[in-house]
Amino acid sequence: MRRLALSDDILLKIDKPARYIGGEINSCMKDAASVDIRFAMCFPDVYDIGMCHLGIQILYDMFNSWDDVWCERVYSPWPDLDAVMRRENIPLFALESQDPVRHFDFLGITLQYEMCYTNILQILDLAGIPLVATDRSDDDPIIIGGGPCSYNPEPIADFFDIFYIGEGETRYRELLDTYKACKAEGLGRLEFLKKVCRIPGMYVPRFYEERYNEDGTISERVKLYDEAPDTIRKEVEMNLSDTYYPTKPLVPFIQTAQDRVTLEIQRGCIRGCRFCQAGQLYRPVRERTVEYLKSIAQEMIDSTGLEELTLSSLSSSDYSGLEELLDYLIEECNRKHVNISLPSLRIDAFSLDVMSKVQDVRKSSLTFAPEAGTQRMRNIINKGLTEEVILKGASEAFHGGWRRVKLYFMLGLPFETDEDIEGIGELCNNVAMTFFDEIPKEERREPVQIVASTSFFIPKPFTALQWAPMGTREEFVRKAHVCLNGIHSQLNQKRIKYNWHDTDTSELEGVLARGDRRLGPVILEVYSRGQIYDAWTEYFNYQTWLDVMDELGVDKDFYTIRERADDEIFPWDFLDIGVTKRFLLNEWHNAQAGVVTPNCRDKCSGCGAAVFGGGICFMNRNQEA
Amino acid sequence: MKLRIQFTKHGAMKFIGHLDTMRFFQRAIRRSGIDIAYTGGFSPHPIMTFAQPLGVGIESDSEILDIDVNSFDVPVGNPIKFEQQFDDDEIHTIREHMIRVLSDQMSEGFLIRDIRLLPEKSDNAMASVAAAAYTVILPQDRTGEVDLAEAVEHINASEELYVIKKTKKSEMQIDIRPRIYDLNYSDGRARMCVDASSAGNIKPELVISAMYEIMGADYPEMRLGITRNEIYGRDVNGDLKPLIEFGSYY
Repeated sequence: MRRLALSDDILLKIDKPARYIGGEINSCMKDAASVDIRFAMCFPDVYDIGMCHLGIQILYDMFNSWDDVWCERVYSPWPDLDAVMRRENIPLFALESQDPVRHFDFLGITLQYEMCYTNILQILDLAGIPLVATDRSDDDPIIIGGGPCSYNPEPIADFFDIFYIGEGETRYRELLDTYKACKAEGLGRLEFLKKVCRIPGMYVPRFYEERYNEDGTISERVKLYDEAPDTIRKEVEMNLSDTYYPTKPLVPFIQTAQDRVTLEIQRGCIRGCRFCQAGQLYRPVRERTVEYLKSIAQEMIDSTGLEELTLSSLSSSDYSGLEELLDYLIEECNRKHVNISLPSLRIDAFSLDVMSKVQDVRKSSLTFAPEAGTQRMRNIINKGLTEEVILKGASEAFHGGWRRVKLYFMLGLPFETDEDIEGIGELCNNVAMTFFDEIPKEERREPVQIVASTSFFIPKPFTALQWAPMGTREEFVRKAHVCLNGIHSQLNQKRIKYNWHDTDTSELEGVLARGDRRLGPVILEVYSRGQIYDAWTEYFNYQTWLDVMDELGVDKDFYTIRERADDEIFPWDFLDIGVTKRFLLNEWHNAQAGVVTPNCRDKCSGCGAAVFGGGICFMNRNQEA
Repeated sequence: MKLRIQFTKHGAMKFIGHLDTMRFFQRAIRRSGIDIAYTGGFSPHPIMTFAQPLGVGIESDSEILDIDVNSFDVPVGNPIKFEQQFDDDEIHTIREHMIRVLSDQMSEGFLIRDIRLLPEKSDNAMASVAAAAYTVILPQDRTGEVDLAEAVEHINASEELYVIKKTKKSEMQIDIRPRIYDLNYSDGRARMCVDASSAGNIKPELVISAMYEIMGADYPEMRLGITRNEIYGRDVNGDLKPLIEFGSYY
């Protein structure tokens, strides 16, 4: 039997002890003595959330397919166990071997959202690893970060030895081989990092420094090590049908946020919504072949016994083989008693037909994401969804038996007026009107329900709106009330429910998203005052953040409400995602002018992602040739 | 057709709660290829019934789970994941083959002991439960001055044993003596067979606390090491019989 790191006494006192025992089906056990590299892969949030993350599952599978590596998992201990571990000096351990993380060669941390930054420090602290990278010795693990937030790593640059910029499939082998060679030669941490910074995609933050102008903006980035590259280009896996994919995903014992088989059908998105970071970061669009997806879907269902399968992509309706794939999956899943869930489908006749085959129409709801209430505003953000399309989709859905409709919007978009906000209520009302106009009285026994949700717009790096000012908390609260009043003034207001997102969380996310290295000490100080789990409203304490920023002389407004000049140097400018700053600036000007840019399949707008030599940029060119 | 599965739950698996154990077995059976029957509708689920939930922290030598199957078909050649329970040349019957394919889908701590065929018109596992046998290990430093062997002698010699049973709403005095079928104690280890039916289920902790009470001592706060050894039903004569034995070989 495996020895557990925590005693029975502790495990029986805390919530959901199965979070900490490992041993799940398809988890990987190896003999620690027979591998060269021990890699701990961490999602800095609770197990129930972290276990669902596809990226980690892909890397876990890839690492463990290599004989010389054993990759294990680590998640943030929930506050109940956190307290016990601190009190009893129990070091943070990896789930598989239950060995302390401190003795591993690498600790990889995925950076999925800004609100997990204090949890990164919790992980390092509980593991007994110095929080600041330059304080670490040769005996400490190499701390490497990756994922969406590594596209502006500067606020957390102090805590990492390396950031891996881009997709993990391509360069880890080279990185680990470099590590092994350095170990064999007896080279220390710094010598290793000097070699690493020359591997494509690897950013070693300690070799750079930010300098500032008097107004607080960045004047220049200075290299502290001559051989370090000036820019770092993201890594991209160009053949997604011949690469690593976890065909034997882990099956957790406890119920997690998304307990299902995930089939990633493509990366990237053809639509250039100007607020969307993922849409730019993951360009160019690359599809997996239908044949490949069929075979891995089959394997994953058989190897897990999971009862649900879901498609993953930024916009599934844009996948070119969708119809063929779904025909196959519906038949296979029916035969095997597996449910299919279909997120991010555009509502049209095809998707409604598919959905009516896989779900109980009466119980499910349909989702539209117009993002803004008026066409003027939707043109500014380049959201190519018109009211006409929404109402047509809603009409077809009502005729098909659906009664619940969800609509997602953003408040605080640049150049927004109160009319745009009131447009949200009008649009919702028009959806309700469609129901009453088109559905005869005798079929209206179950009334229509419309749920409108707004979140607050947060400008993100590498988007056309990265120059835009973000709203203040006070503005957000006012706008939410404008929106609410707009809904209340509608004829069908009783059929419309309205939810809005917390303003404090949004503001802090805005600070961190476009932050620079001056935020490192803030995060460190907030953590040292006991703050963790900021992504959880029950543990989030914005006052602590405000106090610390105040005491350290950091002005949050500098990061949030300030409009950036066209030629401002951003903290993330040294990263190259393919999409050029020139293209984004042009898009920012198009936003100001309300000019729409076509999607990648209709017309190439020359964003720069063609530099990777594949994906949709080249598929289209070949067709034309 | 109804099959009755007997399995153990040891080691780290004692931290897996009842609902999670159910989900684990649903998935394990799907992976094994056993031809389990499903309910209809948009979210079909496999038809299975557990005899009795086991609390988190309690281990078991004998858990019982009934499933409905459409056929005895089992695919051959499933990959072996864990320590193999049988040599291939020991497998002669469909039953042995089923035990083998389901065993391959267990995580460490779960072990398939047996799978038997139930008669056509048998009660489901949950309704059949009459009694359960437990072993309770008391932490040595906590048994203290109290002579628990003597406590057991008192209980066995008496006709009634009133304890306070706390429910969510109230506290009431109940006589649990008729529901203790067997009880002995030696060297920090209590063994008991008690009522486990839905109407009269007795938790082993209740008996242990009664042992302290009858000696006029306070029940100390301690963590008991509890293992369920067997679950019983009643046969046609009204005698206790392990639930697995209601099924036959096939």
